[in-house]
Amino acid sequence: MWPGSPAPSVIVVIKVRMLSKRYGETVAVDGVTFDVQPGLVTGFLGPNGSGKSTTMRLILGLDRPTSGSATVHGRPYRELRAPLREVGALLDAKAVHGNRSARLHLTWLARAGGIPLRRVDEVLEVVGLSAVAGRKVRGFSLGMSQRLGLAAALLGDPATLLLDEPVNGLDPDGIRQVRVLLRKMAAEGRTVLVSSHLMAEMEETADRILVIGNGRLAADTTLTELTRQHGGGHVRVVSPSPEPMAALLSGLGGDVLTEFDGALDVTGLTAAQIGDAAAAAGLPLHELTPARGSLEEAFLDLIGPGVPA
Amino acid sequence: MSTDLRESLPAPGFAATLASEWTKLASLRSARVTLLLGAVLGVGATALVGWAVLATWTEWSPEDRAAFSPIETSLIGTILTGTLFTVLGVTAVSSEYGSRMAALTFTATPRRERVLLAKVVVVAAVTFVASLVAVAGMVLVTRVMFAGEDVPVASTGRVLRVVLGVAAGAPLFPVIAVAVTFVLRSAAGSVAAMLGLLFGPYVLAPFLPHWWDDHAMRWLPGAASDSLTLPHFADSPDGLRPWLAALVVAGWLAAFLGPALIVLDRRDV
Repeated sequence: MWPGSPAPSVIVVIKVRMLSKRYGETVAVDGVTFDVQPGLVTGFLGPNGSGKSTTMRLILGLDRPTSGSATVHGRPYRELRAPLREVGALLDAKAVHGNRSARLHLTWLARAGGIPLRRVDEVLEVVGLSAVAGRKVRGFSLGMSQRLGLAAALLGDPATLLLDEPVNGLDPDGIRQVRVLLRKMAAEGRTVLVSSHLMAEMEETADRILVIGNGRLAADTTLTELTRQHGGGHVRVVSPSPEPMAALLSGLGGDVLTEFDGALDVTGLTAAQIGDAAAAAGLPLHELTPARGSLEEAFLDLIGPGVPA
Repeated sequence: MSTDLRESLPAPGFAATLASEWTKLASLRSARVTLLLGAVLGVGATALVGWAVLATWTEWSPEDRAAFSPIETSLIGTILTGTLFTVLGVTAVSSEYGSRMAALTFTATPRRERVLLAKVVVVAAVTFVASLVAVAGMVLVTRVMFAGEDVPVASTGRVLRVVLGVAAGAPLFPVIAVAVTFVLRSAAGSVAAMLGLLFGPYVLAPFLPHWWDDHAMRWLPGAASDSLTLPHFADSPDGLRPWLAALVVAGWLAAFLGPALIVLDRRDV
């Protein structure tokens, strides 16, 4: 940095500002603003129909926003000069012409993107489809189609990946492979935005979480923050005299539930507060276990109940 | 690793889109079937008509025999060939929307006008070459059938002009079909629209006032294209002069491609 030059700011690869999309009466995306940074896996979390896919289509310039803007690498997607070499996207794995082989599908895509054809076999290898490269896509299972969609996203060796529900339909081994791949991509300094309606998956993959519900951004935070703020901080308390213990903790403002095994599930108090109170009251403690709230709880807390998990 | 591809290669231009669209059409089985069927049915129809003429030949009056032109008769098959090649123009676009692959196409090539123009070029080139082959087949089949009969034989120069002329006009409706299908997005709807455009004016003509036949028909895309590419057939007074025919054909292309380009650019994929 030269003296006097502006302080280095956080690098932003995908920039979304007040993005809205209305289809007739339906508001699919409603004033969404967020940044996606390189070197991290950013999870885009929300129930089906919450606006994740529409947001991705808007970022990719497929749909026109009703208002607001989205840029990738500083430009609207439709102005990128070699889009497939900058951004790899997986939107709908089944949206492939069934009469073409996997290899030919990637071949037309490579030609369109100005990508050397050797990449076709390279990415087929990466996603484990080499053996079926010559087979018509029509006969592919959802899992195989997802792998092909992932191959298409990786084709241009892009610095940025936008993946909509990439593990949908994959077997546990496939899910693990995708997770490893995304972590590796982020570690290489690439930008990864990956959507899911499955929270467990995000818990193990994403560094940052964007939560979207009903087209609105409900949270833009780290995983730890999210579960700390909205996960309700549970403490498991086991005592030989549960009733006076429950009365004591309720009196201190905790929410106390009795579990099947007689243990108390306490929210609203820290383990330290509970331990101190028990000692002061002379009540014996056999177990005092703080548990981080799950992403599920954080999610339900943010979006409300009635959400498919 | 990631910088290799991004910095060492030129940005993909129209040639890349063209290569991509060629790969797509060449790997579409339905396209190959349509082309083959168009050529085979066209030559077959011509052979059938030729056979019917031959079977009744002895009953023809000397004047009718003298007026008979094997070349013009041989072109009867182009009605079928042209129809099927128009369907090919529809398929080249509807295959994108039917499979929802269009999203990937426009992610790879966000300059959507390039995709439309590349499809136009590929469809035009393919239907031109296939028509060349099919029309040559039609002319050849008639020639072989009428060899030894007392019919006027056209000069080689005239035969070549006819074959080239028909082939040159052949891409017009397939290209219009590309434009129409980008707007309608449905195979069934676009085929119906194209059949209406191809045959509607002729089917409706008997029900319309004479004015339609006398003044309107020659301005239609097919008639104008014939006036342009087959001027020797258009010595009849209804034909447009070539320069005017060229303008009219260009006008029709603009009338279909223009709205398609606008709709494609503005509408969500």
